[in-house]
Amino acid sequence: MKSKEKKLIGLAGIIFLVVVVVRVIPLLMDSYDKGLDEMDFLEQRIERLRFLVEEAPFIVDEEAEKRAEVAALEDWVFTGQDSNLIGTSVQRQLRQAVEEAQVVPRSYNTPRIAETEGWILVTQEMDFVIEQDNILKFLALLENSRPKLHVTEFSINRNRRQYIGSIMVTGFSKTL
Amino acid sequence: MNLGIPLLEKIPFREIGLKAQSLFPLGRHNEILKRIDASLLLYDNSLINTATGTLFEIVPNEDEQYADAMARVARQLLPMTDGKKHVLLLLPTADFASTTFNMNAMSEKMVRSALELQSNSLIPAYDENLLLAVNATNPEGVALWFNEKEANDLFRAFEEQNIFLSAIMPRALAMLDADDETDKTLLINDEEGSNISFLQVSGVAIRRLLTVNKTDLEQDVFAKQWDIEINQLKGEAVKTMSSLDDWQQIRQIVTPVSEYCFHPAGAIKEEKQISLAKKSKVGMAVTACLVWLLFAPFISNWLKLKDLQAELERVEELTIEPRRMRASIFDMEEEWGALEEYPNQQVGNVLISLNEVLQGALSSFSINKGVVDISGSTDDPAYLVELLAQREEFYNVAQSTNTRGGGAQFGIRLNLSSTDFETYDEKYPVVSQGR
Repeated sequence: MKSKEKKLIGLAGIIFLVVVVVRVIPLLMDSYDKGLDEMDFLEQRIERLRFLVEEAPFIVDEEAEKRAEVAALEDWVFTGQDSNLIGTSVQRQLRQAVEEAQVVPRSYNTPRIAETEGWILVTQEMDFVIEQDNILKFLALLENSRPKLHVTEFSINRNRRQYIGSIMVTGFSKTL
Repeated sequence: MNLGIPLLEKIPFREIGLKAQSLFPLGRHNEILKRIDASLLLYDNSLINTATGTLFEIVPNEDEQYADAMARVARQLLPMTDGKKHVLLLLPTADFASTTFNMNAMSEKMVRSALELQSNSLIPAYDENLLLAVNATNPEGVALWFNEKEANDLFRAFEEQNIFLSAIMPRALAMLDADDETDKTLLINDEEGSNISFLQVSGVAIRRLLTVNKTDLEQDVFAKQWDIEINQLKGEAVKTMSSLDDWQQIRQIVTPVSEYCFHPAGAIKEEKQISLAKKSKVGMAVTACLVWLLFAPFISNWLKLKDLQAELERVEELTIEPRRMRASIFDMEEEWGALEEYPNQQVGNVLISLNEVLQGALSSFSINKGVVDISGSTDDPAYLVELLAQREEFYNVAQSTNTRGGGAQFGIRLNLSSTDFETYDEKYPVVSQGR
């Protein structure tokens, strides 16, 4: 091998070393750091899953409770997909409570329909006159009504021995 | 284009290489010597296998050179069945030229270089190139010389007989015990035919080497001078080897004295190849170590990742059912959340709570999404506010209208603690609103 060739090989070796130091080693370090991050991620995930194994008996109970809750909630729901029919059902439910609590209705407004994800909300407003003794009864009937009527707004003003008031109730129906 | 070359020429690669080489100890061709597995000794035209004591006389055939005849006899002494033998050839001491040296305060390497440079003036009788062997660890001693061409001829002749001639050494040195590390002085008298060689050896360094022809000793002057010289040499033991029988009694493979071994060019070439192979192995091992060191963290990470992935699979297997249930719970919450989380204002309970405080003073009540407005008449509305504010189910209790009639009429606004329509509306926004 000639001297010049040896020198060229030496120079190539130096350039190779420079490339290794400047490019390869940073890439390797980056790859090493990524490996550490991945390990960290896996360790955390394993830790969470191990905790889940310990929690498994409680999760079984929790799931059973939730199913029972959902079963109870199903009674709260007005059935039907037509919003007008649901509005009618809400109004009927309200009238039933009104009758049972001996509330004197003065007017019913037209039901208002709103929709949130998965649900139709029907709001019914009514003006009424009520005896003082029937107020709590009326509210209790609404509270226990099935399907359920949620009292959104309620106001009463004393007028001698009676109260004049208005109420807004909301009923829920599931969309498909 | 030849722009790079002038710059390269300025880089002193050779000097750097020589500098680096000087950092390593002087080579003594130890690799070749280690492989020696037979020693042959020449005495009076007979070649002796020192390990067995067997011998054959060397009788050159017609047109056969002496080296070839010797190699042929060597082949007879060394069985082919043992594979290629690596031989130490012990030649008569008188076959080696000797010079004395005295070079104070010089390194071993420099002594050797100085002797090589002076070879022509030291031994003017020889025109051909000479090989040098010297123990230069001491400032003074004896340097031995051997004809390079003769060594190479012997190597070639032995090679033709499939014998590897590793080294050539004066036979007198066969008397040294290479394992003896003491510096005891030994006198060796090596006689053969008309030649007498007398050596004084300390440890493995030849201090004096005197050679004389017996015919010269017939003259009184020479004989007297020889006696004087010999008597000056002191030693702890004297060994005289003057017959074939003396050399046959060695019965072992002679250990080479590396300082006084002469290596033919072919042997040195093999030494270089062995050394290169060894260096290559070391280089490969170092490279493998470096690569290992470089990749060890990655391999470690990779193994750990594999372990973690295996562990993840295991715990995932264990949690299939809990995760399914969790998902089921989540789905139910997602599906029924809008209904279940709808704030329940419990208006009846609010009225009962207010009545406990107001004691029939309430004339109007209004509740709208958790905000309660009440009005009525009392002697001390501020006191009412205080009482209501103390109850857990209310917060933000404040008078909402001016008091009238000397403070008898009041208006109070408060919020229910148990309801949060704002959060609910954010979580379940109304997406469309109809009639």
